Amino acid sequence: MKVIEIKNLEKVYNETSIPVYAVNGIDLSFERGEFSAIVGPSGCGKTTLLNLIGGLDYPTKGEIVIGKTVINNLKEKDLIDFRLNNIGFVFQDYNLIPVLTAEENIEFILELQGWDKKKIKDRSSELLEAVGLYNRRNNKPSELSGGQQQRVAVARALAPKPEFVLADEPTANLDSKSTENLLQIMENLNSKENVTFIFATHDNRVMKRAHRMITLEDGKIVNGET
Amino acid sequence: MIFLLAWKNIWRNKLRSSIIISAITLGLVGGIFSLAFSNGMLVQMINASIESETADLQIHNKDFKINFDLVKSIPDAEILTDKINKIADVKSISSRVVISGMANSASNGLGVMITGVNPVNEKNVSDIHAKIIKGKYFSSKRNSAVVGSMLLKKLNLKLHSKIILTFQDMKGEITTAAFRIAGIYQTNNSRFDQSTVFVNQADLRREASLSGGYINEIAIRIKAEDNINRIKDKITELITKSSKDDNLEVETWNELKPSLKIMQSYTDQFTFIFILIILIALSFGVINTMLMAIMERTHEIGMLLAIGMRRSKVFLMIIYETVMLSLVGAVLGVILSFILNLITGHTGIDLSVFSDGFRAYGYNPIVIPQMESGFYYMILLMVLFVSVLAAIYPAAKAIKLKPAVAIRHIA
Repeated sequence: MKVIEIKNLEKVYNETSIPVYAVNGIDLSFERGEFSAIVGPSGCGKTTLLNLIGGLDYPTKGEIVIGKTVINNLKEKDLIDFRLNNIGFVFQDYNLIPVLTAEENIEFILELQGWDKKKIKDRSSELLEAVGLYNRRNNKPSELSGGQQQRVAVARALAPKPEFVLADEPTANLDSKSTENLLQIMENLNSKENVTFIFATHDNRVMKRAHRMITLEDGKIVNGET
Repeated sequence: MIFLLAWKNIWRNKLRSSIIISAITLGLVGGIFSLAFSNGMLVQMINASIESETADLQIHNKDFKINFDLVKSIPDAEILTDKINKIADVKSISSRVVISGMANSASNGLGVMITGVNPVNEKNVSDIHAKIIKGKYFSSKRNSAVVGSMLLKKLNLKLHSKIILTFQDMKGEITTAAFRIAGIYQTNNSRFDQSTVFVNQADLRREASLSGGYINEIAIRIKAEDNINRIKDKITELITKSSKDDNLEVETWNELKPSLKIMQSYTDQFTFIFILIILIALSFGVINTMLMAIMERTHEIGMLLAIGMRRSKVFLMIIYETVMLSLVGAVLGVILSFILNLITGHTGIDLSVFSDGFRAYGYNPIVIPQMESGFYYMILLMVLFVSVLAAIYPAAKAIKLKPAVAIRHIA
């Protein structure tokens, strides 16, 4: 079953002066439960494509259909709600809220979704167990290692049970051991929760684990198109 | 959680938050204390005026004050005072004979109000007896007078000297009478001290050819100041029902001394404006602090928007942060100024070095700062209002961020 369908997607910067085609006519789709990586050299458009899929930016042309929703037609306010309910994000530099504990970081997004308190506690405990950080739940991000912070970020991304998780260079700041650990956890959650994972990466360790690779060059798919 | 997050965000940069909180605290302490100081001065002035000069209420013939015509008296004053005395909220009452005249000595002459009092009754209405600095509050001898220190100085007289009072009698004839100075009083109002001579009512009636029960002023003290208008209405009603003269009027102290009323209302307005100016000045500090905080957290706000936090909630979070930051300073400021006002209100601030200047304007040189408790709540409400206004600009800036751009921002 297709979770994401992208049709003739374009994102052009500097349209009025010298146009830069960050994403140039991409057709792509992702099935439920995929564990895919978008790869390519720096500046090839990986992050732009991920931002467009995640509804963080509007395309210049084309269509992104998630489930049955054409997200590029959504108004900004609706798009924020759509992101909250359907998309999980994992960023390169973890992006946890520094003043909240690991547990509160996970609970925060569930509270934004309007879950009741009991369910919030259960879900955050479940995910903290899954990422192996239940005993560090009361620690703030500054008291956790980079790998641990990224595991909390993964737990936060998965907390509201999204359709898919977008991870932009999630291992770029991690050592080998932490990377392996994180990828293992993500793979487990991918199969356990049947959530689609899409990575933007140039990390070989991620590429090795990915079930499918989409290679971009100059905003175009050169390999892995479906 | 947004509330908790906002509270925790304040303490991210403890030094910066502490600086702005201290600025708010000190600004409010300074502002509130100086207002309590000026308010205390005014309240003392009003109280002194009520206690030494006007009492709470006075009854006159409406036309009496136009030119102090002795014909314009209060008929059956004795019966009327008895009836007024029976009103539950009335504390004390004194009937007076007031004549405008001149006080003369061998060296000088000045215009004065000659107030003929019954010393026993007057003690319950006015505190002049407690302000005697030399001599005593009337002697048992005929034609004794109690004179203000300033008048004494201007006329170059001493205790037990003779003072010559010149005034018009009931027949319209100019009369001159010599009085012996039995006591010298000194209030906090040197103008009053210079212009008021107290004599025995019986002596004044005799010298001015007035009848035995002649009265042209009734001064009344009440038990609770808050009830003044209600008591005024009661007395007015009583006069309407029982007095032969329908031309009598009851006036409160602020109608008798409109300048005090104006000063009071001016002080109230000034208080509001002064505090508002302080708060507006402080709000710029708050805006600056919040703008810095938002600039530092651009990346994080971008992340919050990315993961699905609505802009309205981001807006609310910034509002909460600003309001809490301001309220912490305000609560501290209010508590500290309350304590400061409590201490100085107990000890007083002795400015006797400037007593001549203070007394010229009717102020007590020992100032007792005071502020009504409701004022402190008003301050907190004003801080709340101003901080919400101050939060709007930083909050609006925060919600204008585009998540895809903000998330790439490096602090």
